[in-house]
Amino acid sequence: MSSMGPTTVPDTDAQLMLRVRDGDGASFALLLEKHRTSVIHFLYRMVQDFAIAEELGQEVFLRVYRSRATYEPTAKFTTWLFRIATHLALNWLRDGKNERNQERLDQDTDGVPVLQVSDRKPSVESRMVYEVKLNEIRGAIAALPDKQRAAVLMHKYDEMEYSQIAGVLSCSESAVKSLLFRAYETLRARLAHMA
Amino acid sequence: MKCGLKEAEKAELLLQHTSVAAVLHFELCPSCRDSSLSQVALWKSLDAWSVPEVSSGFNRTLYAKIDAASAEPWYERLAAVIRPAFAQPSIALGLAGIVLAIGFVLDHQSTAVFTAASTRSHASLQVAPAVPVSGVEAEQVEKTLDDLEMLRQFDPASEEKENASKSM
Repeated sequence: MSSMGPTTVPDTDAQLMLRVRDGDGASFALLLEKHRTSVIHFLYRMVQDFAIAEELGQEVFLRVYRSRATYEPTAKFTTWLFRIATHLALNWLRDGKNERNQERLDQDTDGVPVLQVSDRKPSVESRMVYEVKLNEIRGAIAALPDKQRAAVLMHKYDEMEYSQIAGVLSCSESAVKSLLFRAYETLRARLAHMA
Repeated sequence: MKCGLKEAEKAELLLQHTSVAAVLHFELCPSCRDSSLSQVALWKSLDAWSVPEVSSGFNRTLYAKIDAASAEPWYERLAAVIRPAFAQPSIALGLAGIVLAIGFVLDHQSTAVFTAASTRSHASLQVAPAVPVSGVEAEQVEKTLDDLEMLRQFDPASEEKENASKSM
């Protein structure tokens, strides 16, 4: 994990956003194409419901578009983008809208065909093992405190630097490391049998 | 052997587990080495969590929302910005307090203004000369009084009241 670096070139994104500010719709389309997947995947892992993740993802980009007139490249574009995404996800979680979905967590996979990602045709047994494993991971991550969860997802799946995660969560780098350490410690204990 | 590292130092080593400092420490500390191994295994396990592709209609829906938002009148866009603030009880309570305070001040100001105005009007009544009544106005007043008299005759309750007062 030490080789993790930023996934985007900030200057390019900031320049694109400045062009959006000047009314260039094509630059917005480029930014959308570039960051859409990472934002939605992050939101999905935060709220664990794909339809909600897409809805929140649309809200993220709608807010980006609405804020174009006042945009100033004071931070990395992705930091700003993920700050909006994290804010929306945490608000959604805080509003308790996820209660219904948490109940469903052990029952199904929120209507998402989990095994579509695999090209091979797995046996029924391996499919069941995979689903059990996936549900355990989802459950363990869902049980983390909101900030720890956001930090883990940005660190593990979006390969963000500590400074960037700190920017998104509005805390210091050392606080991010502490959040990550505690979160991974909890996950290690909960998922020890899977290793 | 018990590891003497503090949490922050341990966190640093586990998160940067391939750094020279970490590798050197793991050689001496079996507890941290085990933690690091299980950390790497955990990261591997987490890789199993794949996410499906974004729906094909995502962009279309987004652009429709952008178009709808652009067509919104300014006050609705302003409301959309303000609305989240009301979701937080502290802000909502603060704003309610400010509105009450403004209402209180305005109410007291208007009472003061009314009092001053009524004082002025009393004064003006005292000093104002009698306004001459035109013939048309006198005629209107007379007609209204006639109408009232007619209504009183048609009202049985008032008639009874009148009879009672006469009998007394």
